[in-house]
Amino acid sequence: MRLGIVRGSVVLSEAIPALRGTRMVIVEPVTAANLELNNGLGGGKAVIAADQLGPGIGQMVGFVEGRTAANPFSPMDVPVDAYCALIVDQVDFQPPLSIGSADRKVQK
Amino acid sequence: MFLARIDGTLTSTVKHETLEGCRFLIGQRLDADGGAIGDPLVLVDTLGAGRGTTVLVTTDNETLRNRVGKTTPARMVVCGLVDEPLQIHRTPVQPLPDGRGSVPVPSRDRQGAVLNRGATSHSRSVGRNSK
Repeated sequence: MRLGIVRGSVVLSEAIPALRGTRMVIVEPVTAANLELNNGLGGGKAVIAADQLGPGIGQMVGFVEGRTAANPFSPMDVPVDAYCALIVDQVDFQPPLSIGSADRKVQK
Repeated sequence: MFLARIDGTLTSTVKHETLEGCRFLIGQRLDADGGAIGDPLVLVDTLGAGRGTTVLVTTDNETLRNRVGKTTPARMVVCGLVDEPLQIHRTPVQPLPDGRGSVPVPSRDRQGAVLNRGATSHSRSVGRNSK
């Protein structure tokens, strides 16, 4: 599960039957640097995640990626590969100062 | 499975029903040189890992499905605590001229003489034969 900030929602006018009625949110993944600064910025590539929790715009959520993201819809076969699994109340993130950001490799 | 360093904690009230009562930690995946890489990850913990601990993380959803229910979406679970300190041995290597594979960099003394000549020449000949 990665952390992301909700930036909006997606509404489909036409969809395959399995996806009808599924609420979807636009999630911007939070990078380690932004989480450390707790600046409300994400920094990652936006992901569309299925959602049943209803987070507000700007809220931080935990989203699951991969095949297991469709598990909450079981036994229905839903082509969902990202799912908003929790809304964050509080996050406490402090990487060790001794290593700091120097050990963090730049993501391409 | 991969190694991660625990760098934080997370609390959540509104979450998927199967995740009620789970303990969440924030970890960073570790690279082969022990440095953190990638975005921070939310991990489910049952072993009581603390901040700064190096842990083994599985991405197999089966572990959690058996414990909290079949509809759980989460899959990153702390499945072991690593003995400290984390020791990673890395032999320096240099690429072969043809770009196919690499050989260990020979150790040299202060005058620049190769110390482990026998081992190095053997590695090089293996590299040539493999062409």
